[in-house]
Amino acid sequence: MFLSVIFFSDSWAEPRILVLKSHDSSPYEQTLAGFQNRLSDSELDPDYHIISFDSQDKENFLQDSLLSFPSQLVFTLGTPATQAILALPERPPIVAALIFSAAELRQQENVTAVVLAQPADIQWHYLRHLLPDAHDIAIIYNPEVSQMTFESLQKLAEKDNIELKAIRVSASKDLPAAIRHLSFQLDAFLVLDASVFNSAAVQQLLLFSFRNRIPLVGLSAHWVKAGALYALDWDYYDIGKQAAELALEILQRHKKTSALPPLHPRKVRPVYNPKTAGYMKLKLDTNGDTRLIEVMQ
Amino acid sequence: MKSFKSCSLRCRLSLFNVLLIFITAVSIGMILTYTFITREFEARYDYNIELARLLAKNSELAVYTEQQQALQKLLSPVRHLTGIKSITIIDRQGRPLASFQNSNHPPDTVASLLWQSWVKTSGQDFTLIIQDIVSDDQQDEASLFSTNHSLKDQQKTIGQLVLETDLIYFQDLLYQAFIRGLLITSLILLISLFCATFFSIRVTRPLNELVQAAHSIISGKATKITRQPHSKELWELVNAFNKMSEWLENYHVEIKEYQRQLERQAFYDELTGLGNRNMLKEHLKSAISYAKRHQKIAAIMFLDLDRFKYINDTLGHSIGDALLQEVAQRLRALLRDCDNIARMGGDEFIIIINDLNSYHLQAKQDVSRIAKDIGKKLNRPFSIAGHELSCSFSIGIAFYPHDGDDTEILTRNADTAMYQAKSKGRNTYSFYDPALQQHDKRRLSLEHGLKQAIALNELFLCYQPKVDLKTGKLVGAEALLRWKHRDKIISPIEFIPLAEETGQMIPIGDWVLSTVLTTLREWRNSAIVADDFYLSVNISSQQIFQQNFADQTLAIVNDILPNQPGLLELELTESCLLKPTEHSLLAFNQLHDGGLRLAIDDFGTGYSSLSYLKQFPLDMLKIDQSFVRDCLTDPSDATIIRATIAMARGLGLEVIAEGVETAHHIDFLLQEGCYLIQGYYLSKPLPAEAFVQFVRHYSQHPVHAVVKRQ
Repeated sequence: MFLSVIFFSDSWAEPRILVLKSHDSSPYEQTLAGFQNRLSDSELDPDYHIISFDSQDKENFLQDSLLSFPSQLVFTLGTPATQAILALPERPPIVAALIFSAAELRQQENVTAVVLAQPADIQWHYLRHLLPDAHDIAIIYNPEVSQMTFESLQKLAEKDNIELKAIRVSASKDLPAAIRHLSFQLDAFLVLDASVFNSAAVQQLLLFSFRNRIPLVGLSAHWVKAGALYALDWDYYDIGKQAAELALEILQRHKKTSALPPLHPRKVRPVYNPKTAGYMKLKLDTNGDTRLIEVMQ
Repeated sequence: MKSFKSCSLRCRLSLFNVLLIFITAVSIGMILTYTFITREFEARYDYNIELARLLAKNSELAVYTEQQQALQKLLSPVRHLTGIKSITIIDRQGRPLASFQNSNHPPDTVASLLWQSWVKTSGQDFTLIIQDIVSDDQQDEASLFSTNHSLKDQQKTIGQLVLETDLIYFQDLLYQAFIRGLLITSLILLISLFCATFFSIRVTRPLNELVQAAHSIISGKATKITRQPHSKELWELVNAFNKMSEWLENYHVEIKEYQRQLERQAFYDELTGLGNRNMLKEHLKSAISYAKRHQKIAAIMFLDLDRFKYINDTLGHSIGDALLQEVAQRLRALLRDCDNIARMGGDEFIIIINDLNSYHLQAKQDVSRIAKDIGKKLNRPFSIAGHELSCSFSIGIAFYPHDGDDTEILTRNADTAMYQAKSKGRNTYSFYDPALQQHDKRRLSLEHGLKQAIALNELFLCYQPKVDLKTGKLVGAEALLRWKHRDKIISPIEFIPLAEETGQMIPIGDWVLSTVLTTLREWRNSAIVADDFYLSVNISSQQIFQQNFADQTLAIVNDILPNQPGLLELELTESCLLKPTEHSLLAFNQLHDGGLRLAIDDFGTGYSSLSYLKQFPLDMLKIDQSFVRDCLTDPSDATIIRATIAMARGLGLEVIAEGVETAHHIDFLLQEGCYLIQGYYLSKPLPAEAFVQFVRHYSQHPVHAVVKRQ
């Protein structure tokens, strides 16, 4: 109750925003820069209290921070920071960014986000455009995270008379079987989320792709560098701006977060690995409306 | 320990080297073994760590995906690796996913103890290695970004790999290290022993050569070492040894020369070049054995120069020595080659005549002839340093085997025979007669008795008066020494030379002085004699040349009759004055200044040099009784007496005639101007009591008639 009094007080001329960063790496910095610039453009000059989040006693730390810096909004960058603030019983409105999917936010109140997961239509569009001959396509996903995306993809595929092969991986122990069940006759396979993967599992997928010359559509430029054919990477600065727009809705128009559903990134940054493409004897259309960006291995 | 002390240098050096090498080799072996074990352990530690790390890395996916079969398959090749007891892979909750366990053979006690010791000292216990199995979590969006930082943060421990080392490995390694250490130690020992032995031989070989060379030197063969040793120290040692060898060689030559000299001195007389007593013994033994073998007779002739002592005392030792050399030369020229001649010492020679006729009488005749030849040859005057010396010789002869059958007896018997010859009047020879041996016994008895004569109160003095014919007064007396031995009076002619020979003359002389002065004091105190009455004593040359004679004499005089000059007269023979020395001149002057009168006894019988008369502070000349005895019948004696009186008068000396026996003698002496007389005419020498009686009745003596007649 005390916290809520503090959080919703209007006694300050400028809003106060608590920024929680999971990391200090470039994507997080770019996102924060986009967020801050967008707010500045809207003639809002909030006070920021930026905390780089690490593995220390998160709950007490966050409570102390909120006590010392009463905020109207918490801007979180990354899953660890978001999960930590969500663990608090009382909290100001939260705008999250750089979290993979909105599934994690379900059952949570007072929170909205710009998720990293690309919308199904975008993904299908790029898949069809870049691999037009692929008809036997497998989709690897965790039903708990990407069931809806898979279903959307399946509908889009059906329109193109393509049947997608669903490989569901709910836990890490399902991975070996999933990989074993991948057919050597596949034309491509696509990973929707990495919620049950670790780097070794990703390496196994990449090895399977490489050994069988089956293009793997990865999740990020990092995957592409490691050997995936292409991925839909993000414009972190723009994600920051998207998050800032959500914050403006909360701070200026006083909208409830429940009225602000999580957003997908509005800009796609498609990246590909020319070596992988060359190895698999694929010729990608890099100059069409997809405008692929080359990622060297 | 004894056996070690008796070891040679090479043996000791080798033992020392072996001990040193053994300690060094064992130390090196232990160090190498320790280093080997340490390295092996460190390598094993790194190996196990890397193995665990590799297995953990490779098992990441299988652990992550919980593939137990895959994990078991992963471990299956590892189980054959040595030194691995077990490997277990567990998940995050500690549940075992895969494992293997090799057969469990516990290590032996020694290996276990050593392992525990190793763990304590090194702090490295890799018996149990636990390696985390980590996984890069892709569940957060950070894994999608390609930054290392973000990836590292995503690493999570998903399980553990537990690797247990088999201690049997340690045991094997320990044995291996022990064997290796043993091999290295043995190798070092072998090589070092070879080197040590090699160098030991190199060092000791020159030393052995030195030892052999030293033995050669001991056996009289000087040896030099020509081989040059390799080390500087040994080179210096060899150099020094060679120098020492050279020096010893020279020293050996010198020693030989000294030996020859010593032998010469031992067997030859240095003065004459003749054989000495030792040589004589050898020759005599040879002569005896030759005579024994060939049934021959050998003679031994003991030859003694008469009055050699007198010559020595009067003319000096150098003249005496030259005389002996001349005698030796003449004797050598006279004798056959088969005969031997030796000098026994002093003026005594011994001649061995070999190969004489086996008939004793014939041998005696032959030896007599030889003795006569010797006499003739030696009687010819000797011309030495401007002096014409005539000598006579006494020869004693003894025969082998008749007079003795060993060297000692023969020599003694020849000596006895020689004394017999001397007693026969000198300048002759005499054959040994067993009866003569009595003489030797007497001589020995007298010699022994003389030593005790003073203590036994056997010596006494007789006094012969001296009278001045001008006044008829009894002016003095001559004290004459007498010896009553075993109730028999021994002649002074016999015992005085014996006393001089045996060194008894000095104490006897002192006794005479004391007795004379004491007697005179009693007589004076009893008014038996007048105050100017004096006593005279005879002094031998031995006394005169005695150190401090003057001091001792004056001390006795001053003790008994102090401050009474002119009461004691010392009668000296001419031989005492013929060899004036600074010492004797000083002594005579000191005696004269002390109030003693000095008289020359037996004047005219000695040598012709009279220069001493003006050098010494004399008071009186005593004309020898031999001149007085025949002065009335022999004009020569009368002439000598006249000359003596005239010379005394000219020199301002008193003159006294001794041996006055008749009134005619007195008449002659008065006529020639000699007024002091002594002799049997007045009285024979009288014991002290009898002399007192003589003095008391002197007024009735016939001499007074002669004085009145004058």
